[in-house]
Amino acid sequence: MQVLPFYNSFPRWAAVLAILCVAMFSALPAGGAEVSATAKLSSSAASVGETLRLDISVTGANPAAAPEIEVPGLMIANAGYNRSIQMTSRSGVSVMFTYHYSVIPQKEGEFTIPSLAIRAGGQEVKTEPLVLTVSGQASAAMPRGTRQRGRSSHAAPPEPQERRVQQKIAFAEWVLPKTSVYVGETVPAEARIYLATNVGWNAPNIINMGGEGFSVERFPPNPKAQQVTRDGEQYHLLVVKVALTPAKTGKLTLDAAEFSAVAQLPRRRAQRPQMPGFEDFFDDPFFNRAFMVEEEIPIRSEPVEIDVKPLPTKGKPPGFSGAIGQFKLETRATPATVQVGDPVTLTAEVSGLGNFQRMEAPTVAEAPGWKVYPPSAHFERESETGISGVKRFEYALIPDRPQTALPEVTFSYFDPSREAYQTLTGKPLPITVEGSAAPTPTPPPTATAAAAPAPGATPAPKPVDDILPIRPDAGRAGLSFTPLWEQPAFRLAQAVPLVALLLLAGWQIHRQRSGNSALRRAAELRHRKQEAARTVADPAAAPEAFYTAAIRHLQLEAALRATGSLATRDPAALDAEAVCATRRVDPALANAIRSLFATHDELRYAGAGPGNGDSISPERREAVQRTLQQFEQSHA
Amino acid sequence: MRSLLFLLASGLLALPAMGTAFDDANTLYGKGDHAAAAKAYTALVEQGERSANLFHNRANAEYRLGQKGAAILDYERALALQPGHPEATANLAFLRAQTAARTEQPGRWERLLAWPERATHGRAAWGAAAGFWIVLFSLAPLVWRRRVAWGPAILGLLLFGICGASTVWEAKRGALWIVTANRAIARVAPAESSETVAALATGSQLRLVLERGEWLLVKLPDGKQGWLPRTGAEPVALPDTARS
Repeated sequence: MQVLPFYNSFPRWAAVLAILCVAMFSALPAGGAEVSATAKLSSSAASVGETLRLDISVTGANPAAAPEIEVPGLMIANAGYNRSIQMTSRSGVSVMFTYHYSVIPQKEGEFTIPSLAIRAGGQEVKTEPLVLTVSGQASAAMPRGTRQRGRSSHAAPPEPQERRVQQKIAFAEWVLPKTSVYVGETVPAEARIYLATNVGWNAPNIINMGGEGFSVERFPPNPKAQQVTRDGEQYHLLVVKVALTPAKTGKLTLDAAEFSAVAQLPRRRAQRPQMPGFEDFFDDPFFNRAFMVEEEIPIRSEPVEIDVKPLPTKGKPPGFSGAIGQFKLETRATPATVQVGDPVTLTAEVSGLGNFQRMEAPTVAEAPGWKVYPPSAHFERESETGISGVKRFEYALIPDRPQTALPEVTFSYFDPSREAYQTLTGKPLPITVEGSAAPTPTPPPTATAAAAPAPGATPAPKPVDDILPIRPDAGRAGLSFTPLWEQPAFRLAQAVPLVALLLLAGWQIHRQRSGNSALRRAAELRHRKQEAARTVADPAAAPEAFYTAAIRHLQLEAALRATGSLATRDPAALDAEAVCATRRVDPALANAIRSLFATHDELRYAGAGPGNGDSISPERREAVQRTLQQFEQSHA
Repeated sequence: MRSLLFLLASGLLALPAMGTAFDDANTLYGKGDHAAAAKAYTALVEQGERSANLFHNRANAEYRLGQKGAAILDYERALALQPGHPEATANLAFLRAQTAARTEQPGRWERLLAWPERATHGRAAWGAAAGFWIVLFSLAPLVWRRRVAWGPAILGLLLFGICGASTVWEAKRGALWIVTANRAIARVAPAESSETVAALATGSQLRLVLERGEWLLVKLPDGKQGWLPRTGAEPVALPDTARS
């Protein structure tokens, strides 16, 4: 059994493929579920500190869990796993799981990695034990910087003599599941780019991928580089996936995959004497960054020769769809019951692995009474490369007479693993087509008969399934199909709240403004009243000034409490009666106020009065102040 | 205002005429002369009469004449004018079962969006407008430096959001058309020679995307788009023609 490496970094791809392949595998008679496990070390001899790779592969079934490995003297760490597909001519398709481990010897000696028991597919399989000889030459003692210097896939100049393993800083390779294919067969392939982890890299550019006679569909590389160990060295692995389809037969060459990437390499330094104790310092990558130079590194894989075989003519079915791969066919139809003349949708789903882009629709057998329309096609890819998925064909079929079954659906393809043509037939689909073969619908006799029975005739029985009768009333008239929001009434109605809102806003603003002016006036009046009160309280005030201030005090107090027309009048224009009218004053107080106004007028216009001298008696001053106070305390 | 009064007056004047003609059409239907009844109902429709019962009765007449597509279209029209019309709802379901017509199958979000429109019988726009004005009236005191009524504002916003989303969704989904031809084939391009997208049973629901000459680009109930000859389908909504 030839094991062909397929994918190392297609988690989703591989998952889908694995599921499909396992499903197909179980359906294939020749695909016996033989489970086996192998263990492989990258080298059987190493030195202390050197990193080796250990691969544990399980073929034929999914392992339950990664085996735990413990060997005293060896540091063994799990480094992930991958799944791949095996395609063989004998047993068809199978899955292979490979667990990767990194192994670092801690001391010299001979170590045995024991036989590992792994549970897979309901059974336990064991690997062969492995022997590793570890010498005392510690490669870890090598200066770290030595691995960075000017390596490329092409140039590998001699390095310090103690370096045993020469590392390429970048290289590429093609990975194909097989190198012998049929013309038109779509093969998933990978171009893998390995970039040394101890060098800084920019994203590589694709220069060339393909070859004469191939149709190449390329998919964007996974932006996440995976870190892998190859030949004991650490690399960033970038994978560019392609779907290759050979268009002609013969020996075709898949050209070398060419890339270029910019590497940040250390600048060549002049040979200098080593200072004892500073070797590591000067060779440290951090120190070297100061002396970095960017260099474009060409990366090129080896070309691959592929043998493209023609499809066999023997056994080629007449309805061969051009599909090459492994497929399944599912059919269904809706609805299950129709009338003559009504369309039926027949769906044929082709799923599996193969060249979906080149396949033609399954054939619907010609059957009397069925009119078949050309199908529509829709492809749902289950893998990035589109090699696995489901292609759905929808046919419209119209019966012109009663039927009980749909026409048969067949799909022919070439299976490269069996090297033979296969024809799949969809399961028989029952259907009920009712009605007569007449193309026009039948007139409905029953309701008519029921509505107008012939005189003397027996009324026809009313069918159980019939429409409800007409409505005798016209119902609400004047309705409209115009959407509500487009109807003028709806738009007009929006004016009502708009106007109301504007009115409300206007009223509120007006009220607020008028309220503000009243407050300002009141504040001003209070201020002036306080000034008048100070003059009244001043014993040095002249009689005229005293009485004027007293009158002013009364007028301002009256204006502060005034309502109606009095509120808007100038306080100076208020006479004794107007002042008294603003309050409920008793007659004595009213008389005192009138007397005060009279005294003020006498002093002002006639120069005579009770205090016409240079001063006012304290009693009089007190009496006036009491009058003012009583007025202030009187209620409105 | 004058035109509004005119419309009101003409509507009121037309009511007795509609009543008589409608009764005459019903009599024809009762006598079994479905062709004449359908013609009489159609005359009323052409005069600009828009009543759910009118379209329902015409649909019944069309069904009796074997015109299932036209009958489904008129039941849809009756339901568009009066959502929940009981007879139209029952008869439409009955016909759809007979014709295997494809109908829209809204998803969960679409059902949720359509709920206000359905619950209000197509009047969610009133709810959206009410919510909008409640929000404005609640926030208006900000203008005259008064306290905002946050409770009504939030409720109004919710009403506006829910009903508004439903209204916008309804407006954006395109006009509803119904397949009236016995065999309608939706095609990839507007040409008879073009590849088939789907065959549609009479009475199937479509949403109009655009019109181009004698072809319609429609969205099918399964979400696909296809070109259909204009003769194969009719819109549910009719223009509000003036009454003669």
